[in-house]
Amino acid sequence: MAYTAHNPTTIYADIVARLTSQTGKAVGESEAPAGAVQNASLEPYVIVYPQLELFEGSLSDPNIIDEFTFQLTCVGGTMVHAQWMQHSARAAVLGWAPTVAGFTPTPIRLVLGSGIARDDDVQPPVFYSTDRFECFTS
Amino acid sequence: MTTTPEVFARRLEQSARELEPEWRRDWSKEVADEMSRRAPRDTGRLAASMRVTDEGVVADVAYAVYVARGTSRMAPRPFDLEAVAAVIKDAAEGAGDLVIRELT
Repeated sequence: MAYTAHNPTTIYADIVARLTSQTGKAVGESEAPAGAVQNASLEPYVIVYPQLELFEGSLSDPNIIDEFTFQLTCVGGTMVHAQWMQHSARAAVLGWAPTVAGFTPTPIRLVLGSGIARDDDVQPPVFYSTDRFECFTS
Repeated sequence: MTTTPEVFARRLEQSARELEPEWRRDWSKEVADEMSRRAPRDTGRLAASMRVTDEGVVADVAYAVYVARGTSRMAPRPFDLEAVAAVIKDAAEGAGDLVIRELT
């Protein structure tokens, strides 16, 4: 049997593209988007952190079930900006399914939401949320 | 003793209810141990802080959430998520082995 596991890079690139097109804001993968400046006047942005990937099946089995967990850290210079960014990011991905060639992904769902936290390690402080999402492919 | 499928199902449910508190304790202990193993170590305080409570497993230091979920500048290190996934995987494999033993 041929190795048919998806390429995870494709999934996360698809999620980044979706967030960029739907929110109109900068999106980074595992790091702040290029040019992001952390201060009160910053433009809100999102960071996609791939977190966990669980396989069921073997790599030679084309019928692999795969579960992805990822986090969206939404950052804003004010509480309202961070809330707006969190809401926009959720609206962009919830219920939407990324494209995975040869696989059938389920719509993305929220598994652990967060409130907005204030980061005083940055001066002036910024605000952020840390929502975790998951998606299955089969 | 003969039994009907309905009686068998009721007994199975009853057994599961009786065993649930024990499973919950065992499960929580395994998750706590796995979280301790996977917690990032600097001073070791976080790894040593895992507690099993009636509500579940608690990482009993205030900064645990910042480690697990990151901050605006710090990447998350989701040791909690990884621990639960590892315990579920072990449990699923154990259950599979048990079924195979029972059937062979």
